[in-house]
Amino acid sequence: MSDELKQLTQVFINTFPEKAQALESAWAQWLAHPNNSNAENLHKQLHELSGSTGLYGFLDIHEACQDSLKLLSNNPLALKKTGIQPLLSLLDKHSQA
Amino acid sequence: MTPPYEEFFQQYFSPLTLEVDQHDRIVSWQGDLTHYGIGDTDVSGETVTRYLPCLIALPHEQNISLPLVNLTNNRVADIHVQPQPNGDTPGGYRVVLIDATTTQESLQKNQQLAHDVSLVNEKLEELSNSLQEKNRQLDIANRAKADFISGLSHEFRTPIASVLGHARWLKQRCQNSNNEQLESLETIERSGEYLLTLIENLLRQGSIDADKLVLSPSIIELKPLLQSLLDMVKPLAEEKSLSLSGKMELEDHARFKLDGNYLRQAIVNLLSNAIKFTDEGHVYLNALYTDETLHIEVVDSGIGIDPQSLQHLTSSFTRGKNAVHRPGLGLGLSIVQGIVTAMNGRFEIRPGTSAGTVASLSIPAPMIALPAIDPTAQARGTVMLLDDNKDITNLYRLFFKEAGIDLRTYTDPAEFMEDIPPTNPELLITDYHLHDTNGLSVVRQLREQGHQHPAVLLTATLDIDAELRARAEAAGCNDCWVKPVKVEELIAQVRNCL
Repeated sequence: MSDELKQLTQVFINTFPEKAQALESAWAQWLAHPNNSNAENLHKQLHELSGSTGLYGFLDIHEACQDSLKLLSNNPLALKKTGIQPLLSLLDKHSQA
Repeated sequence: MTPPYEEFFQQYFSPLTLEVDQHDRIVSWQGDLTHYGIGDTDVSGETVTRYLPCLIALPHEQNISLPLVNLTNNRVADIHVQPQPNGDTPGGYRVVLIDATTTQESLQKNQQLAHDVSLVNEKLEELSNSLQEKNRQLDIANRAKADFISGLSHEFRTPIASVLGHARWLKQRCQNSNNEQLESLETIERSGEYLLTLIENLLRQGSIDADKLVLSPSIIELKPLLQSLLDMVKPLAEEKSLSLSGKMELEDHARFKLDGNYLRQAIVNLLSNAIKFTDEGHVYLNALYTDETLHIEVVDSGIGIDPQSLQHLTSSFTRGKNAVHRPGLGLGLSIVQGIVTAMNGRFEIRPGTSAGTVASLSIPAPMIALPAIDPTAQARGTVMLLDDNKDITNLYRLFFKEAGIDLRTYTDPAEFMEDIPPTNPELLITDYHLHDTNGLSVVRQLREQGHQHPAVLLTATLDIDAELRARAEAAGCNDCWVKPVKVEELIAQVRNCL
């Protein structure tokens, strides 16, 4: 891995806490008011996180996002049951590294 | 002299004519009485209804025909009654009997035959319905199997991705650890990647089985694609000290409209199979273009294929007899078959001339006539990319810089559109999901403004389907690319367009 890439990856990892916060906030809003607008916002957060983590090689986070996205579209009740805690834990683990 | 037809009539139908008076008594007759079971030699004065009860209470004033009447001697006759107002006996009538025994037998046989045919038809219909039902059940079972495999593969994919993620994380954290620890981590990573490849194959097979394989053809330059595949499998060949080379009888910059991802998958499967089953010697990749058909061959000097296994090799989960002790699920060739069939091509495997195996693909693909690339123009060419995720554009910029491609990235659609110069760039790429808009609207606006630059829509796997593809085309996109997880793959696709 080149130094520049290492640096960029570190910058990306440094944004994990704020990404987790944005995700938590979108999640809480959707749970409280599961309307279209909040679902779209949650979808956006998950979609962006999925795309960027996939590219940076954080495949565990990428897959967790993809799973949540599928549930959000096909089975929101199951997503409510599963929650996003595992995803937040992954973000936390990688940002602690 | 009796005319011939009358002779024939007499011989075959033996008619009997009875002249009867108004009191139903037989006056005279002509013909053989015994043939019809009527008396012996003389029946004059006998009542006709004694012998022919079917005539009882029958009016005699009009012509009447009684077909197929059973007679007392078990014969069958057609009986015709004709009034004879001007005959010798006033009020009398004539009864003509014509032998119809043969006709009756034929009729019965025909009726029996018709009955048999009807029974056979009923049975056939029953069998056909049962076959249709069995086919339907098989179809359902097949789809259930494909869904099950696909679902299961997906369930495996998540934890393996997690294993890989942890392994990479640990490797990053253990750069200063000893070699043994690093090697262990690399083994975990390699094995994880291998498992992930197997699962990808299962998922692809699931798509092929469920007829969900949708091709996304785009213009690809074949030589660099084949070279990149050789580079990809080179370490595997080197591990086994195999000679790996390519012979490409193709024009430089030969471009074809094909689904590059699936073609890549098919050739990688063939190359990795060839390396897996070759312990010494060589693996060659040959490519030739003739008669608007692309011929690609992978030749190895490996263990070969026993002739009995040849015809079953392209069935899923099937492996050659001499391959059972090597790793794999027996899906690689079945996936190649599925991909090549979807491309209207042909896939063959045959034993090599002296040893080993030759796997060949023939895919119809008209060559795309494009002007030769001017190296100076390419140097000036710029790729403009719109993605509102800054993390992604940062990474793209770095990788494209390392690949020597001039990439300008944008997160704001308005800025992206304002910045497009009239002659450059060579390629516009826009993500599908954007804040407050989407890539389709952006390309539509560009086309409305008169920009003719090639534009590609980048979509996620979850979003892409035939409908989105059609909408993208209607909006003016030249192509849709499914967002790859690896930047290197995106760069390879961009290179193919420059």
